[in-house]
Amino acid sequence: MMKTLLALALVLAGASLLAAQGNARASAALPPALPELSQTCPMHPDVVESKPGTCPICKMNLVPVRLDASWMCPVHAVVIEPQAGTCRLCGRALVPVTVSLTWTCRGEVNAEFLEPGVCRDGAPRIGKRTLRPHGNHNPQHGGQFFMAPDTWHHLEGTLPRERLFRLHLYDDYARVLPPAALAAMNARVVTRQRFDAATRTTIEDEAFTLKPSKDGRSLEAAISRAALPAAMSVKVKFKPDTPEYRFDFTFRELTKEPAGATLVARRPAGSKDPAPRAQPRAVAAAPVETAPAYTAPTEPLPGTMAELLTDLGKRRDEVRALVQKGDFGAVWVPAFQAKDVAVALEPHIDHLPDQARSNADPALADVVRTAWQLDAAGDTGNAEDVGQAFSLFTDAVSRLIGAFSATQP
Amino acid sequence: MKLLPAAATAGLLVSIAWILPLEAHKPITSPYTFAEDVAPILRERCATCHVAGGPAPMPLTTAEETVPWGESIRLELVAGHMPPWSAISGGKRLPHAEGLTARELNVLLTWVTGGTPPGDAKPAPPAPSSPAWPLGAPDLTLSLPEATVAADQGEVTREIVLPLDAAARRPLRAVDLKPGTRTLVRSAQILIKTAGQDPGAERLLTLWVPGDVPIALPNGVTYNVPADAQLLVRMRYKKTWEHEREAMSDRSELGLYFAPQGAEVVRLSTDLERFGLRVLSVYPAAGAAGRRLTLDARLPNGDTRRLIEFTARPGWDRRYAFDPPLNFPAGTQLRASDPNALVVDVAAAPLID
Repeated sequence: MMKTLLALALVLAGASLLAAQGNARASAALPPALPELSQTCPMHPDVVESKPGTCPICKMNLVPVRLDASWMCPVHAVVIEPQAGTCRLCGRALVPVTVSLTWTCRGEVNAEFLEPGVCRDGAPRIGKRTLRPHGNHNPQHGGQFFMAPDTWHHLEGTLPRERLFRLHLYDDYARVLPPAALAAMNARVVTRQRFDAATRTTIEDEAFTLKPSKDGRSLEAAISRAALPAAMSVKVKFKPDTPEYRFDFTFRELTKEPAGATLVARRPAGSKDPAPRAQPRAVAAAPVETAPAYTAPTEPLPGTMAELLTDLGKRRDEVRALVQKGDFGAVWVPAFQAKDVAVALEPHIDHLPDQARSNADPALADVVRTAWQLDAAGDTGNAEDVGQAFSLFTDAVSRLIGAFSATQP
Repeated sequence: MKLLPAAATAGLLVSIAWILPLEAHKPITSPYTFAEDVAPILRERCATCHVAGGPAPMPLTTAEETVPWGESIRLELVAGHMPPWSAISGGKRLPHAEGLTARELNVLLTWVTGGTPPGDAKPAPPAPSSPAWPLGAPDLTLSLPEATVAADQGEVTREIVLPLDAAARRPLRAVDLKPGTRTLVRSAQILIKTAGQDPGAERLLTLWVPGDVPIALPNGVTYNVPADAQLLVRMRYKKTWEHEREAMSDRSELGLYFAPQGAEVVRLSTDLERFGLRVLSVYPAAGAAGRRLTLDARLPNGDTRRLIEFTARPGWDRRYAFDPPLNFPAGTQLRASDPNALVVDVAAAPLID
């Protein structure tokens, strides 16, 4: 019972915040086949088990939760739909998120169930989708989105104008942080800096304090005109007693708020959502880049050794280009493709001469390991971490190519 | 981290992967399941320690045991911390010292980040049981005195000196340790010490860590035991978090394996350049923890071969034994990246096979 109550507390906490953000209720449409029950820790939502037990981190009893994939409006967090589509309020394209499924009854404030069924008044229970922590890592303002090393804060940097940098801050549910939390932060955006090798310190030549915007929903700073592509770092202490984190942004172009082409037409009559002003019609949508397809292969990639080596070099170059562009969030795709090539190359080492094999053997595993390091570093958006991971990755790829190439005619 | 019941939502997630915005996190769906893909790797590579009652505090033999440790497993593997003694280079000549293969790493990392699907819930085969004495019954067994670690102690090191009677003063091909309390014994050094000997000249016989598999010296090579020799055993005890604030005790045993008279193992010596040599094993010297160490052989024809490259992980010192040993012709020079940080055991050729 305690487990259930804790689960419900978690779900309700999320639900109440969502409710506070808007006036629309999530769709009640639910899939006919229920997702399996999982067990999660009330304090550590990243812990998800298939069976009841205790949290390996804090030893609390795990509580049941029913997780599912859903689609949410990047702006209207209350719009959560079971399928891809556009937001009922603003027409924006929905983004994929992870939610927990629960069922409630009208008039029964504390009733929250893990299964559909019938309420006391005989009416069917109403399904509800509640965003899970880390269920939404999508940029909401067309910027670059990173997760802080504390894994609770999330932030998104935008460059809406050449002289304006804006920082949007979210919690682990991708909810906008309240103005008081933003006001308590000590943050700056550094637009020019250099590393002094003699003192091994970074010298900031140009930095601007980030202050709450007029609406209190973001931090912003007027900066000197940014030449594109513009690289800048945010350095922030979320609270006085927390460490300073660094996030490195690179903007190839000015960022644009995501907007649906049919924005006005889709806005329901009477909605309080303000009509967008001065938005070019029909072409208003910010270019939405789609991630290159990546799915983990079940079998090693086909190809001759020479083809695989060529592919490996190509993937490394793609990673390098993304790192140089500051496109850290996209680095994982070619990095993962490279490690898949390494896995495919592994059976070939049996044919290598002794010394080449000794060199190739550890390089294979290092390519895999460093690809995952790049993935993790890319998520948190720290250029130094990405750079270190890339250095190890490219070293491993070079050693691997070198070991195999030594045997090529 | 399991985000979704993978079987039910795999199709949906795959479709999501195609349309994610670039900056978004990606839902990677693991095509690997615990039953089919992960369990065999864990059983083969990790179960020596990660088994119920083993030296590691978390058994990883079933999906139920393993799933909650998913994020920890990811961090350990990505950082290269597990397995703890992986030789970075050395190939198949270093049995029991290899890191995970690229495929094994990829399967484990994909699984822990991709939903930890359990797969068909078939009963897991029993974890391999390690024999108490992997080298077989010892020729002589010596019991160490009982050691206790008080409730308020977390880690202690004890030194024990064992006198050897005349029957035990014979050439050795191996000395192994059988821990009494597997969850407590973290490492052990077994050395030969002679009366009045300079402590720096103690002769190392064994570096024991959990999960390692002992390798005896090849035929014709021995550790010689002087007439006034004693065995010095340095036991390091460390409680796992499961046993914090518990008083624990241990009574381990040593197993001695005698050898017929043969060539003595010696540390790397320049004198050997005049002879052919056989490289038996290497291990980090005291104080080398955390350093990346290499050993190369420069052959008489000028070719150079990298024999081993590894980082000495603090607390996990072990011996890297070449099996079979590496034979080199006279005139070969061995070059360690830091001669003071790496000890190389060699034997002069010719040897009796």
